[in-house]
Amino acid sequence: MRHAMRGLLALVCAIALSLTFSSANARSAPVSNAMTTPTGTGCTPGQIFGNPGFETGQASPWTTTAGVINGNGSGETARTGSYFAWLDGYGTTHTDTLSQQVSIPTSCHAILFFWLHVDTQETTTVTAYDTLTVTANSTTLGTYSNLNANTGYVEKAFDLSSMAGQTVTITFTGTEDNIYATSFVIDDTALQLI
Amino acid sequence: MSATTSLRRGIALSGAAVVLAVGAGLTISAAGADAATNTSLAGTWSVVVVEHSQGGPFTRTGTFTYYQDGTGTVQTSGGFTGDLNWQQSGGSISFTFEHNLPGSGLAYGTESGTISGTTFTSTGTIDTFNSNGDETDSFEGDFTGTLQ
Repeated sequence: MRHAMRGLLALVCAIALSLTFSSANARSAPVSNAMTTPTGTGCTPGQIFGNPGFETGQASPWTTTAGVINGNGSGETARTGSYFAWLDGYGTTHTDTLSQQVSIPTSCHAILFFWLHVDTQETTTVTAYDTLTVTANSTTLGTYSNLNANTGYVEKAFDLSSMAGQTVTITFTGTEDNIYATSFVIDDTALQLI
Repeated sequence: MSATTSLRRGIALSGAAVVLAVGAGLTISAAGADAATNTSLAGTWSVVVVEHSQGGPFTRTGTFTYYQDGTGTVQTSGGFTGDLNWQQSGGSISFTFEHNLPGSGLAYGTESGTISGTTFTSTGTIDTFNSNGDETDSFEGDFTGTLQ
């Protein structure tokens, strides 16, 4: 009987030992690289513009002048979806704006993306009569004009990482002179945190 | 010692030996499986990037560090630096990165692929923009990473 008990004890010990080794390996192996890696920047990545493609058909949370948000069938066409922002295109002295305020966390890099289509009645190849200016607060990121007229949309991107930790207002301002229309059509914006 | 006692001892010892052998086998199998399939992307990796740009394939090297919180940093040959974020589900990985380019331009890439042991591979698209925000190139980028 005593020998039988000793055998049973050996059996239990063997099972316990086996389970201990198996459990230890199952926990530690998958995170072996992570154990020596710093925690990270803490940035929560992602796109932070509201209504980035204007697909609600409304401006909010963008702030716009009248008539900027338009849908397919209005004379221009969205790059994706059904809606877009259309600045100018009147052929008279006119200014349209489109803006949105966002906060860029200190821990993040940030990139502004948007797609731009320009068409114009202007015939000059040297003079920028009608312009679109893109700003982040008081910093001018880029300026486009009737000279950038194209048949489709082109993508633009700007690094806003220097503005981390700030509340930033991104503003598109289209300014048209008194004759010959130029349309600045914007779609699929993104302010991407990385 | 009676014959019965001797028989019982023999059965008990044999049983323990079998359990030990099976347990050891399971342990080795589990450790091997973990090493082969469950490596985390968290860590510092030497990467080779083959850029299929307009001028033909171009190979660039770099160091990508993937932090545990899903963020990370990028260093590429040429002295360009930037950041990334990443996700992993089993052996499938994806990551997005950006780094600066000369003249305040930037490169932005999205990649997806697989990881096994100390190697990952991925493919995706890299877009480059100049300081005026104009896209200057868009091409396929193939990554091979080796854990440092």
